[in-house]
Amino acid sequence: MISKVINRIFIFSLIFFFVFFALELVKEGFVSNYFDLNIVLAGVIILGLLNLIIKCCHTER
Amino acid sequence: MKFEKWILIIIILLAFGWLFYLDFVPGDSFMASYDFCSATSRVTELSPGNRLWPLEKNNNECWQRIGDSPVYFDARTPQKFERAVVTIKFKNPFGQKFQVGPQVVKDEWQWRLQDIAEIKKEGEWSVAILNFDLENIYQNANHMRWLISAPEVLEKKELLAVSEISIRWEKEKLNFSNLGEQIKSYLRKIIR
Repeated sequence: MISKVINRIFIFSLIFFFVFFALELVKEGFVSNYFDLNIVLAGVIILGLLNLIIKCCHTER
Repeated sequence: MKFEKWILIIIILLAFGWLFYLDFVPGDSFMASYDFCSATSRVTELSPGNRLWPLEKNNNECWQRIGDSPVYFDARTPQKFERAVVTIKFKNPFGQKFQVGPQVVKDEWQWRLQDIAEIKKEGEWSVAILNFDLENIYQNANHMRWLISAPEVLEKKELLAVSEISIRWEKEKLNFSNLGEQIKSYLRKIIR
């Protein structure tokens, strides 16, 4: 159950990051003037690692 | 999965709407500042580095000495603005020529410079407040280049330091009569 939730949040945050990264490329400052996208990126990396660890544990079992 | 997908779409749309509201600047002003302690996205650090001394810090105050002239900084402008009120905290104890101003035409050596003169004191620092009329200033890019000129600084080797730069961009508040014009000027920053 938890692994499924983490997996979903990871995918959503990854999509969120790419959408707003693309917007920042289209109009410089659209995101970065108001919000630090690196915070989302950090979340994506942490969730990605958690996702990977959980999946590895499940495979080992 | 369908429900989750809709939540994601709504979150993205809400975040987009919030950012668009901020970036379109429906109000009459937009603030940007750089305090030399931490980097900000709205006003860049001074450049080029070989004309500047390293950043200095004392307690919560940061500053940078200018070693040669001119030096530049870029300020992000999400919308087109009519005026800019620039506040500069500086030290110029020997009163040498010291000016700042925006670039008039992109990629050309045309600047609208004004003298940085002390209006008030804040501790050891002098404060200058300058009003710039931005009519006929190139604003189709996402940022505006500014120049700080101190032509005598290299020769005289006297102290000249800047501790804070803040810009209050001003324009007419969004209303029905200027809606079309403001949308056009906003789009011009995306489609150049």
